[in-house]
Amino acid sequence: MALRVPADPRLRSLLERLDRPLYSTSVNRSGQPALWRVADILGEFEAAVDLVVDAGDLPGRLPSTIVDVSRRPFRILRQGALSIPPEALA
Amino acid sequence: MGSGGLSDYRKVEAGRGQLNANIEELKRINSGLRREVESLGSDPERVALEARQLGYFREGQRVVRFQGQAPRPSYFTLGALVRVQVPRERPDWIWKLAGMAMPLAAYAAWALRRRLGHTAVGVLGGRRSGKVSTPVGVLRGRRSGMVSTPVAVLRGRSSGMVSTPVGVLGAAGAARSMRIGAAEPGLADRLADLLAGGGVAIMPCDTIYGIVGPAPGSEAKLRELKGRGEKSFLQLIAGPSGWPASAASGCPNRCPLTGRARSPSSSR
Repeated sequence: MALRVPADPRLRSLLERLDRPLYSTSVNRSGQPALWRVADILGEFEAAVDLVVDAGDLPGRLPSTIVDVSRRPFRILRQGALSIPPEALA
Repeated sequence: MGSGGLSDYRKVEAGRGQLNANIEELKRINSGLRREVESLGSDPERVALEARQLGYFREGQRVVRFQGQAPRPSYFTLGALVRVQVPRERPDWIWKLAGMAMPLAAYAAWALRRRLGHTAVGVLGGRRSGKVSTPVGVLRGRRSGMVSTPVAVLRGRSSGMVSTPVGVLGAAGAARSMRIGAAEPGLADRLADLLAGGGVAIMPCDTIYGIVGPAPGSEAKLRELKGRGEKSFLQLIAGPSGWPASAASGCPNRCPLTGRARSPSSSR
């Protein structure tokens, strides 16, 4: 199970209000690159989801880093926006 | 059209034909004259005839003149020279202007139609959401191949579609989503209602856009959306307090991985 406490205060307040976790997954079909252009997202998924929050295009962003902390040494499962010094993984 | 056009070309061709005929005629006349010159030089009878006409007679000859109408002097008509009609310089600017204006007009008509189409869908979007600020995004979604969605069908039916009953739209629109600006007032309420009701949304999630849905409950929907197998989804939580105390108690104030201090709000 992977967990994240979002940095975005609005997202956190939404989670507090819902009082339950939210699944979060990148906007793409499995195996495809994550979409960052609003136009692409609308074209591909608009009909499939209930709401699209448009914050403009988000170019050059990386997904979050996922680290397996269930056993030592920790392993990076997905290298994303946060880089972790190797010594911290031991 | 214009000078040097097809009709001018035809005229020039006709002129050429006439000139060729003219040349043939001149050749014929030329050979006649040549024969006459030869006979004047070699035939004594002919010379005598010509001399008589000029008033010279041989000795012993008598002249009897009949008064009457004098024969008309005949001239060779050296062929009926044709006047080749050089095509008049007609003003070209009309055609040139038309040539430029027509594509422009076609483009303008096309753009206008497109614009009208946008407006029509914008009205639809406004009806459903009460906000008219998102017509283009809605249209984009429609145009990119989601032909099976109800609104696309409506749009295809007519571009005006003001008369479409709103009730029908509301019912049909249940399967489709709406775009909303990140700064729209009331966004948080709407998101909370939607997610609490089991819906899924696309929104910016710290880094990139993410598809979010309530956990548990929306796994199947998300998997279907992504075409994804058994891999589990990342879960967003408000903070350690959202988890069992046993999980939260061990959480230090400093991130064990980066050594960064946690912000107060995330360590609650």
